[in-house]
Amino acid sequence: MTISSDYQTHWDYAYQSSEITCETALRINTTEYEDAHIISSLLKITESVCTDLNKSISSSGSLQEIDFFDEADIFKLGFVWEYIVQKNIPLQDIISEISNRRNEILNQKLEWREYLNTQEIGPLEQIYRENEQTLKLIRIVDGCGSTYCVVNNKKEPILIIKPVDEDILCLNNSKHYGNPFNNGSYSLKRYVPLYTSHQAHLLCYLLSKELGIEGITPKCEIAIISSDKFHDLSSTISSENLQLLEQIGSKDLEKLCSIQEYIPHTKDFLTLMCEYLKKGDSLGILDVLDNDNIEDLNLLLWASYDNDAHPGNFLVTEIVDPHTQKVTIKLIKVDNAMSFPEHNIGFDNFLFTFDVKRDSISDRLRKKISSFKEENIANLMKDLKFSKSSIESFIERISILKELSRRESISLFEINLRFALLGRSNGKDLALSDYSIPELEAILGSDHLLDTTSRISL
Amino acid sequence: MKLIHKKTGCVIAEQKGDQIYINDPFIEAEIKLKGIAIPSFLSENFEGKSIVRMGDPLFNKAFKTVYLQFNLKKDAFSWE
Repeated sequence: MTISSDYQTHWDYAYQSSEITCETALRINTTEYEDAHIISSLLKITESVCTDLNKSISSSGSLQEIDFFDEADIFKLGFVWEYIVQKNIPLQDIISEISNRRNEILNQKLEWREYLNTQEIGPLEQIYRENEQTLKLIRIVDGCGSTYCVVNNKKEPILIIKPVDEDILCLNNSKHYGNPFNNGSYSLKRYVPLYTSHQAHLLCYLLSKELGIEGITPKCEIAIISSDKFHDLSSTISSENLQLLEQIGSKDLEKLCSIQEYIPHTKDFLTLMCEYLKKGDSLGILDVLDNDNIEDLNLLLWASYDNDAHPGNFLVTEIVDPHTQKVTIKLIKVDNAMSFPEHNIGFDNFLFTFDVKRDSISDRLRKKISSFKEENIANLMKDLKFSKSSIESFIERISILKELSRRESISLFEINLRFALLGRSNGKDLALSDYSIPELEAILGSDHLLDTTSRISL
Repeated sequence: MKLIHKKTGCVIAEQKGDQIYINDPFIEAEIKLKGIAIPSFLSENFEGKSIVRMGDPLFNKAFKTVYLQFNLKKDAFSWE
């Protein structure tokens, strides 16, 4: 088997379409992170800047930002600013919230530094060792949260870095989703707390290992990284508002981050779907998907109860059999930030609709589910500081999954349907009920018993 | 008006009059079954609803401002 040679990587696409800015100076903290002496010696950062990329951005991306923001939006928050205006929240209250968030971000970093000091070298060590050379940090403009890419001197991307405080609706987001508040009302997914993406990214990788499906989501580590090019809310304050800097506290460009391996030779699933739709053969995609891969992905998504598994969060690798020229598509789940919610609510699995045959799940999958030791993941969740309710929700859904997987003719579609209904007020009963698929579809498609806020109040 | 995937030129959805038609069968099936989930920070813009379904007067707005933004990677598409 070989990987199709005409595949264009995401990186190629981003590079050619100038959707990136180039920055410098990635530095792993060398004094506090136990393994940092190894990492820092491997990640030697250049001071040079890729001027071509800077030019392209200055003529496109930045203009869009200038047009977007309300002049009164002094912190360049973007979407949340509309709500501040609607609710007439006084400036002093916003400043107070920002100051609180800064303290929380700092304390969170200190807390995780203690954890990192106890950890052994992580799964990305090999990548660090293979790239003992000058590296650059690239900010990727695409998406709603800040994502940075580490590239080697051949301009090959090798790592993806996501600072926690630059996620969507976190304080230092630079993509119109900055947010001084931290409560359920101002979140993307009500039951996925803000400032926890690093935990979810790492746990999903560890979960894939525990399930015996490593490779289905990128390898991941947590690290504290500093870069003078990371974004801080204070950098958006104009000269006439400099007095605000004292009130909101000093900036900190040393950040708690997730680091993930970059997966080369891929494109996103949405692009693949569009290619099939363009040639008038949407359903043809079903003939090239790998059944085992789809089952494994569903297993990962059930266990993590992903709230954000939309088509853009799957990467596609195309494998061509050199003898038969038969093409097989395998998917990889990326961006697991909205996984392991506080409660089993908000399940979002786009693969839901791909099980058109609704055949019974394989014995292979049943065996994986029955032999899964959920207590190992529950223990990891404790180590990774997940809340009690998040752990309890995980235990509950695995128990339900094990029970469902013992049903003789159950399909991927039916399990997804029942898992989606877990979010209703009598969700567990619905998930384990004897309702037929059409009955379950009717319930899911209606607002009957739809739970939004009554079940849990954050 | 057509919603075009820039890289492939594929028309993934079309608006005719007040109606949005989704051309991709998987996306259409997903939305028909589950509706469009509204992020909590935007729910006030949708009369406090957590889900907007097809047929709801707010559906077009939900598709354009929520589904396109958070489920389909808005930057990959253009309305023409």
